[in-house]
Amino acid sequence: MKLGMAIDLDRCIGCRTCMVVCKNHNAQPEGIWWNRVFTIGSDEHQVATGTRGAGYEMAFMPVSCQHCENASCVKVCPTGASYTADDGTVLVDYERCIGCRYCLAACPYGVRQFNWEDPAKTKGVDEDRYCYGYPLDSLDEGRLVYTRDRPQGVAEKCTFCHQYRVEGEKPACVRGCPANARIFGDLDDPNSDVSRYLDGRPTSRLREELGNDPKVLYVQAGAKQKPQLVYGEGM
Amino acid sequence: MKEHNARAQGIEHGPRQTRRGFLKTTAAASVAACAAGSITPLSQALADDMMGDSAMGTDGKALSQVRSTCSPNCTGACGMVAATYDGKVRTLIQAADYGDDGYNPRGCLKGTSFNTMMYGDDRLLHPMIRETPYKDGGQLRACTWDEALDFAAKRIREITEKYGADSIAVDYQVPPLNYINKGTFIRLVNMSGWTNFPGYEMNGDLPMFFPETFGCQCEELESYAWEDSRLTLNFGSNIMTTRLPDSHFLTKSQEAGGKVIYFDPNYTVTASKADEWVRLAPGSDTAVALAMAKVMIDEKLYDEAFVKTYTDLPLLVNTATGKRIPASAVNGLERPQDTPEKREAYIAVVDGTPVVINPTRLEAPSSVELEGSYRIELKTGETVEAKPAFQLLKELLDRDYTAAKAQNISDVPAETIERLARMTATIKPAHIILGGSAHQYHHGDLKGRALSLLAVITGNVGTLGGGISDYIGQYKVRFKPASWFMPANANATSTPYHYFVNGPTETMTAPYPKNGFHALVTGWANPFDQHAVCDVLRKRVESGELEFIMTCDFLHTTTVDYADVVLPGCAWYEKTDVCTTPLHPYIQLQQKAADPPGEARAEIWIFSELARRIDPAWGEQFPDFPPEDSEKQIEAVLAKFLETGGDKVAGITVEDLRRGPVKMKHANPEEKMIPFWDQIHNHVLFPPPSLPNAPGSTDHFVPTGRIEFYKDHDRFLEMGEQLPVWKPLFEDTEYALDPSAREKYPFNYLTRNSLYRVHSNYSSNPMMLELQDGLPRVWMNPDDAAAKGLAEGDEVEVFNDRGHVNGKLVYEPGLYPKQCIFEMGWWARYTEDSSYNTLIYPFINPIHEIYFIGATWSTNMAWNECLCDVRKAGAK
Repeated sequence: MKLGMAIDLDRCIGCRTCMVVCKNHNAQPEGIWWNRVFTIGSDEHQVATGTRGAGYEMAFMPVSCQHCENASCVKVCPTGASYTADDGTVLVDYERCIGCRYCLAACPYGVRQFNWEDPAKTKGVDEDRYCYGYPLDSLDEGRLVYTRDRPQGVAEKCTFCHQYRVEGEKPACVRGCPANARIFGDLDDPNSDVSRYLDGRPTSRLREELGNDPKVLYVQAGAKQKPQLVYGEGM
Repeated sequence: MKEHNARAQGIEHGPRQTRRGFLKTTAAASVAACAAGSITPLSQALADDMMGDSAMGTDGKALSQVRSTCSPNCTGACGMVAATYDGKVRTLIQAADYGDDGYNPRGCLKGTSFNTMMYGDDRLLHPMIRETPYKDGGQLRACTWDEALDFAAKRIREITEKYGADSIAVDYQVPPLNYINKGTFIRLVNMSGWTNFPGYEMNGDLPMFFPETFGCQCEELESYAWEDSRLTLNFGSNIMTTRLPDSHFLTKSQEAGGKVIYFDPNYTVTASKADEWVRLAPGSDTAVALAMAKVMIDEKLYDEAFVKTYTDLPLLVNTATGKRIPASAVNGLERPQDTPEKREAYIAVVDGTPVVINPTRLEAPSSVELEGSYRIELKTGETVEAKPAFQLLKELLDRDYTAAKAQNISDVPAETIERLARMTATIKPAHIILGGSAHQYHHGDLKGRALSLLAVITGNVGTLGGGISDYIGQYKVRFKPASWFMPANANATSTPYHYFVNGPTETMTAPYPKNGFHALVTGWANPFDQHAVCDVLRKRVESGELEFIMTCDFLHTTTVDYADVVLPGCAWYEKTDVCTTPLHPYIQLQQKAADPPGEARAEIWIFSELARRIDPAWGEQFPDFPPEDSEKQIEAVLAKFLETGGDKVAGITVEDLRRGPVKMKHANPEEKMIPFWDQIHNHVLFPPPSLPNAPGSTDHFVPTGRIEFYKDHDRFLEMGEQLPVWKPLFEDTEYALDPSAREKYPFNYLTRNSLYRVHSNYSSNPMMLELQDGLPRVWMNPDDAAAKGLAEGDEVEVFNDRGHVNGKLVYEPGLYPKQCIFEMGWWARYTEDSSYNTLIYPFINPIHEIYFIGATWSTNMAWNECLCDVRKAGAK
């Protein structure tokens, strides 16, 4: 099994729903976003680049963990906290992570983030401030790969929503995308939603030259004639 | 290592119990976890069934899931699943359970993070009262429900005795967000004789071209019909930012081979996704549309049969008076006896002879003349010149709207106008969308009339994927609500906000209170930020002219800071209610996922209790029940709604709705609703009914019973608007009000909708704030900003004689020059206690006043008809 995700950049409208759903469901404290959506070339989101004479451009780039087959973060982790699970996802065992941050330096995509503060305190959870995050722990073969109140001083990132996948549901960003731009599933299974979607579509991956072999595939802007996406089928 | 780390880091966890093994225990636990009776076992079990059953923490607490509906008045009405744990909603995700899969998943970044607002610092937890008036420095204090309600009832009685009930103004958001709880307030308002400001006009308003042209409120396409359009002409609706849950239907239309043409002065997300972006000068849409109509007429590309059958364009107009000629005035003709009430029978020419056009049914002889000039002999003996309205239209277009002239006005090349006209006339079905922001100008109705002309003369009405839409709010009442909205012996009155600010006008058709306004009662709304006249409201509280303010809300908005009584209500995951939207065909429930925190209570209880305390006699019209029985009472109202709601909800039961969204019925046999189907296919006269108004109550707006492009009401004639014409921005407004504004204020001030807010909703949502660095922004074209010596990132002040607002300057290259843009919805606390609305003036268009309908339609609030200048903050 090789879980992966297609992101259709033609469909993506830069609405950032995936960012917020990710943050909400994965209890990310202020300052931490596992998933980010950028406007290419612009510091201000949804502001075009270009000039009247040369024409304008506004394109969006959602970036989160690429779940690389050949993951730099896993290689540099001195404790084995960062590892590749049997389904191909790259996860962090919060109980093994010692906070050395080698993985943050090694990740070519800048998607790993570090909890400098006590996240529970930052979020103010249960202190009558605001309240969010899937509340239950999630374990992979006994390893703690999701917990709402991450301990201070661990690296964290997208897990393709481990806590939901174990229940047979898709990642929150996929369920949350109102543009149907994210398609998730087993890249090894030719009948999965994602494989069928990708069939015949030109795709690209981020910084392919590095050889990290990411499992997030971007359907290139300009690709038309897409098949109807059936929402709600199994992964 | 593992155990050591776990201890060292204070992690406590254990094997989590999975769902399947706890099927039986969780159903019981999830109900027990909430207050008794607060979640019905039925709704809980069904939600669990839909989502898989509940999971459970090692602490024995269940994670339960309830299907509800997000309801902030954005037109989304998106089905959500709320996951509740330990009595609080922890996460939200789209339910994605709509019968038509195209609607799945439906939601956005704001609605899916709503849980962060339910327990935040701003949540209202207790009733509050201010016993010493605001003007005398009185402060709000927390109190009991008894104190708050008794104090409110006493103050309301005092004001009623002093000035009359109609001196109490009422402002609430549109009803279809929550027909039951808000409906209780509406019931009270309809009982009390307080003056209802139509909720419609606070954030958007009925685009006046609809009643002017079609006689009714909007008859827009539900968004899943967008994918059936082969051509979409979008005039200034930034759907990809402001209609997030629907936007993919435009993409789908493109994926199916359809084309999307986007007309906007500015390069937006929607522009970036369109097949073609037409950059037109601000306010020039009407000129472009009329020039396109001219091409269609000149090249005989219009649908002649459609024009003859359904429009007023064949009807003869007396060229001397500008009035249509009624059959009763013509020698040898009579008004048919079966001419319906509020209608007139008019004439047209067939074979050179005047004939009466059937006033009871939409039909006309195929040989009826559209062009020419005729001599008509009247019963008075006088002979007058008359022309079909079509001929007058043609003459107007020939004179003023050649493509070359439209190019001068709009900056759009004449050849582009001509090419797009031919496309629009030949690619069918075509759908035209007019953006809410685009119509919120003084002459926004003229844009809509001109665009309607394109939709109608191409025959794109009454067909799947064809039509004209203007999406401006969740205003549309979609079933008959009288069983709850209207008490026996109703005493309802209404006037637009405009008159509250400007005083009565000579041309108003709305009533005005004899003693003026002295109190404001508001709910589900934040007028002290979001209304265009928020500064007027504030000043009148500060001066004491408004003696009493009461608000009901769940958040501590700016309005709360000005209130004398604050009633803490429920968020929409804390009560059951029912809602609908114009954008999709599903009637859905908000369902209770958690108890409201603190002393917050369901509004059905709050306003029933208040009504009884104001006047015990009113109590007969309101149920008497303890707050813990609110859900039971809500369900009774819901059942009655479904029994008496009419055809669209016939046969739907409470149990059906508990199970999930239910599609409402429509008139046409096709799967998707087709607007004006009855008119086009059954030849029934315009207009269709506009709920909640009684059938026939808007018939007089189109006395021909046809789609009217020629308006012969005196006011249209006086203003030269009998046919749609282009009028320049600001001439009748800012420049008329102050001629020096032409020099002083070079920028058009626009308060556009934000990705991060719905009106002033979500303003304090912590995630939305983080995405914006907590900073309001001002967007300008870089050339304009540089010419003013303003650098990107500067804090700038946008100002005019009326007000000001500050923000961080952003260079936006895709903006058309001479605009200064601020995104609406920021609460005053984020804008140094000023408001983006302080700059705006509520101009009244006398034509709009004709179309006033109590509590429903007002003259448009021309938010964008506003001028300003900009300078570095502090540079005054």
